[in-house]
Amino acid sequence: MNVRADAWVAVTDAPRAGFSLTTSVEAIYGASLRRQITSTLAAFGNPGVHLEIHDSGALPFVVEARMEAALCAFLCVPLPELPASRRRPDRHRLRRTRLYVPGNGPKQFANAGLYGPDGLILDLEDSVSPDAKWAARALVRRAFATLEWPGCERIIRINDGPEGLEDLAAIAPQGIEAVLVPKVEEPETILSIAALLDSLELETLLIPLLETPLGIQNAYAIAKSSPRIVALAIGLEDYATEIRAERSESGNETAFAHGQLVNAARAAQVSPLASVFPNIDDRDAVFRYARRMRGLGFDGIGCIHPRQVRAAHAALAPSVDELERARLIVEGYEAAIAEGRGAVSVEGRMVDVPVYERARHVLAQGEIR
Amino acid sequence: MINAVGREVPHHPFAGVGAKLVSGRQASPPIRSCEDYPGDGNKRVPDLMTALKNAGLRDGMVISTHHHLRNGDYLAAKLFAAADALGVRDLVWFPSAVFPCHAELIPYLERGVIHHIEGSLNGPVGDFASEGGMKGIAVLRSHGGRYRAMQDGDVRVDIAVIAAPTADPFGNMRGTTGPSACGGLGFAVADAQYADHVIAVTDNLVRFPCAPWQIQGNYIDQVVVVDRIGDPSKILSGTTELTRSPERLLVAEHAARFVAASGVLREGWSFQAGAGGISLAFTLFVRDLMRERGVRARFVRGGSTRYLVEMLETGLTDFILDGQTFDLDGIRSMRENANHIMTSPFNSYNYHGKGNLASLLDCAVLGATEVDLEFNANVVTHSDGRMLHGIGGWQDALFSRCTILAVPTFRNRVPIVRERLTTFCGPETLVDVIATERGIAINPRRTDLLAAVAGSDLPLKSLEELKAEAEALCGGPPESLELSGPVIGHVTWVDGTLLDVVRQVTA
Repeated sequence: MNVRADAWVAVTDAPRAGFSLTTSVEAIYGASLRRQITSTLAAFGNPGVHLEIHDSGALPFVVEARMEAALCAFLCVPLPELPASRRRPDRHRLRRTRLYVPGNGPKQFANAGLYGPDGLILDLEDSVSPDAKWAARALVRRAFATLEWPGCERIIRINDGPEGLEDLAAIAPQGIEAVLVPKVEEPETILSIAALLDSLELETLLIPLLETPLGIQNAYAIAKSSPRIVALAIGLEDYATEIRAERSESGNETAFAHGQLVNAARAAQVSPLASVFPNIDDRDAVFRYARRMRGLGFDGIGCIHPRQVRAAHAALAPSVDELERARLIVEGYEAAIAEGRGAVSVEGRMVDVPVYERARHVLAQGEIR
Repeated sequence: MINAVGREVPHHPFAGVGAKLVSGRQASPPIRSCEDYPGDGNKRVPDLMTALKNAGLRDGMVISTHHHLRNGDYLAAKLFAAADALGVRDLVWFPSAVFPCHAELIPYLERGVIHHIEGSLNGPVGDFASEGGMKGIAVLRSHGGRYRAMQDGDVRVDIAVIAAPTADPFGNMRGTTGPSACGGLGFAVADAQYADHVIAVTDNLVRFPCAPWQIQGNYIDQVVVVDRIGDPSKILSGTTELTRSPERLLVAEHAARFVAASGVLREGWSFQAGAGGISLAFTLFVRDLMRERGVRARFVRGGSTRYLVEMLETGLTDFILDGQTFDLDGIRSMRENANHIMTSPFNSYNYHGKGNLASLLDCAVLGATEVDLEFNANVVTHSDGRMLHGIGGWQDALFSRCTILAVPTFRNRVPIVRERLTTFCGPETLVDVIATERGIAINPRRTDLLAAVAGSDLPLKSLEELKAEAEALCGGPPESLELSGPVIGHVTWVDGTLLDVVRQVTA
């Protein structure tokens, strides 16, 4: 097996139950891995099967997820219960960058938060091949249960259709703060997902991803379909083909979609988020793209490589004038509260809680590198 | 006996940096007379086997080659094939470095044509030696240590065979032209000076004089012409593209931010750059920082690549002092630019000399396989005890004024910050900073650097914190490694004393 930091597990009905293990970390974690495997087999009731494991330096939670996926598939049982970890999501946090990490590529998980994206998406959809969907679900679930990414909103992108609801049921209890729902075209899609989250008693937020002509057309209705929705994101990989336009340098063919999405999001008082940017080597191009999206009214962009994060943040940082205005609002509002004044106006404009919150976020944006 | 860093070594225990007193005189090659050489200056012989016979090759001799042709080297294989055909046994191979292509030599080690290797071991040959395949004990030395060993007489090279990308019949040679051009030939300078007998092997013979020359023909006994000395596609490194690994980029960025925040990066500074992923990324980050701040380097040492050449050509550095040339731009620049200068380990690293370039450097960014909580480091073995890298210029460059080991906190579940090093290669007194993806640790001994970055926004952490973070992910502290196999290698310090031994591992 060539993939590093992963483990390959096969289950067979062998006459001799137990396991065989090869590992690149035999010298320093061989004993600990054997204890882990023994204990996992015990947790599955020591089924009469043989596990063949080839480990290339996977972290323990990855080994665990790979064993779970293989054993559950073989024994036709659901993934074992994990203790739920509830988090209260923050509606008002910054969403300048959302970094996509392929859900079946565990090597990138542990460090993904270090690059400072506002949101970290473990992706079960486009970046995972159809035959790896099950394994990725088990892996992403363990990743959320195990890892912390301080400062990052914890997001999953689920699959579309019924598979997505299964993804959600399995993973949402592991402290997911937001769910990116792909290929949304109708409010009903959101309603079924919200109903599932209600039944799980989770406060998880939703970010519908609009990627089709119908989804763009229904943007406002979708944005208003649930109070869980905090943002609308646009995905334009297939959009041009679907409206039978040609991809152009200018991007004119997506002008309507961009405008419609920003307008719908603003009308519904949620955040409009732009598409991912494909070029990962040219940081100036990322900067220009993010600046252009900001100019169109978007609050953030999608990133497919950590190198894009810094350039995007720089492009989306507020201007000196915006920072100054935000500072006046925050100071004026806080002074008014401290003095017990009810109505607050700054530079002749009424300041209420949403205006204050927004100003605080502008200031926060200005402070973050 | 136990040395000053607590390691058991068989002889010449390391006593501490600078603790060894030196005396005596340097080694010297035998006196020769020009009467014994062709008066017309034509030292050509028909083939390598004839040259080896003329040189008096016999059992047990020390034979040296060099790694200028890197993974494209054909010469070592031709050399030992010829020695084998001559029925010679128990040779000591004294290369300046070993590459994966030298896996071809394993049969000669197995059959006893080569008794053992004294030089940096890695790749398949490193594995072979680690598993106890070699008859003798490997002696690992740094590039500077290799020069010093010859100069001090620790190693007497009987026959040096130098691959020359261009040479004339007198033996003048250079590496900047010819089908197998590789840049500088600095690693062969010591062998030319000190070996009893020196053979130049070229695939690009030119009329006398081969000018400019990098090694003068007055050192050369014989010249052999062959079809090819190397494979150009493997001579040049394929690794001079900037890494896309986000971890490596972050490590490099932290190192670069450290040199900027600490004031190490300033007008007229100097640094050592390599061509590895993190090192190259560091060079590009500091290049951008230098442009932003409008500061220039006086010189850059390295591992020259197109990026260094661009810095030279755009005035970001006045000089490249080049130890090894990694790509075509580097070779072109060395050929054409008077400020791109070939250096040898004598210039750069020789510890028993009247100074060297390493200690002049304001900064060196190096790698490591392990560091311990005291800032000591390992670079030759993996955490399972297997030989993984040569020492290269690593120990020598530790003498820079600010030595940064730029490493991830873990690689494929192998934590880098350890309670105890698997192999001791570099003492903490010379290691100033550990830059990782999770933060930067400064050696408490460097109160000046600590003061320089106080109040900065650098993610400063202790090694204990970095260790704990990596272990939390990796599943706790690593199990202690019990290596009880026989000693298969000696790790030498730059002064010739022994820092540690390497033991056999199971296959």
